[in-house]
Amino acid sequence: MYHFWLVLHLFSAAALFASLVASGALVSGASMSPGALTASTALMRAGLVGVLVFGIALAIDADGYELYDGWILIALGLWFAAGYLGDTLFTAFKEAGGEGASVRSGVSALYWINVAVIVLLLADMVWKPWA
Amino acid sequence: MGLALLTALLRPDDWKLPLFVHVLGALTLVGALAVSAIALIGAWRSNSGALTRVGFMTIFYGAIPGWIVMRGGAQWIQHKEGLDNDNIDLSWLNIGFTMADLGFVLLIVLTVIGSLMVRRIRRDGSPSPIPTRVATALVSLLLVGYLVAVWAMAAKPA
Repeated sequence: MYHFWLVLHLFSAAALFASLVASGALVSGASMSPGALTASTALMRAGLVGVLVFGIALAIDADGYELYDGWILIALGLWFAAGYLGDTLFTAFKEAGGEGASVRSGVSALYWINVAVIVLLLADMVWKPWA
Repeated sequence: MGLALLTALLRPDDWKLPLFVHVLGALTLVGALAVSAIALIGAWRSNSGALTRVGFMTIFYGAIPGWIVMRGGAQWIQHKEGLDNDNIDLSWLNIGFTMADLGFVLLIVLTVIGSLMVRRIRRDGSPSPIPTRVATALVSLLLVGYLVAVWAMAAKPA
C-alpha cells in the first residue's frame, strides 16, 4: 500500500502547486473567469486535504515513523499555515472578481509567504528533521 | 556556526538535495500544466483572450522553468545514485526520462503556438479557436503523460 499512498500524496501535492501557479498568475495581474477561479480554489482544497490524509496514511503505513515525530509535527504546522494563506488568497481573488489587477494591496506579500511555506513543507518531507 | 549548521542540514553530498530539486521542479511543471489546461479549456468554451493568455503564460513562466529544474534534478540524482550506467535498464527510469524528453518537445511546440496566439490577441483582441483547441489537447495529453511519469517515479514498477 505504501506506493499507492505515495502516488496519491504526490498527486495532491501537484494540485497544491497548481493552486500556487494559479494564484501567482492572479498576483501578476492576470484575469480568470469565475469557472477557472472555482477550479483553482477546488485544486487548492483538494491538494490540502489530499496531502494531509494520504500523508498520514503514509506515515502509518511506513515502518520507522510515528505521527508525533518532529518532522510530522512541523509539517502539520506548515499545513495549517498553507491552508490559512491559501484560503485568504483565494477569498481576495474572489472579491476582486478574478481580476488580478484589482486584488487589494498586501495580497502579493501573502502569496510569497504561501510559496515559502509550501516549499518549506516539501523540504520537510525530503529532509525529515528529527525523524 | 550558521554555515556549518546549514551545510549539515543540506548535506550536499547526500541524495536529498537533488531529490528536493527534482520533486520541486516536477510539482511546478505538473501544477503549471494543470492551470494551463483549466485556463485553455475555459478559453475553448468562451473564446476568452484573457484565459488564453493565462493558459500560455503559465506554460512559459511555470511549466518550462519547472521542466528545466525537474530535468536537471533528475540527471543529478541519477548520477548520485549511480543509475547513469549503460547496463542499468529500469522501466520506471525509462518511463520518466522518455516522458520528460518527449514532453519538452511538446512544451516548445506549445510555446510557439502561444507566442503566435498572444500576438494575435494583442492585434485582434480575441484568440483563434483552432490553435486554442490544439493547444488544449496537447496540454491535456502532456498533463496525463506527466501524471503517468509521477506514478512511475513513485510506484517504481519493475
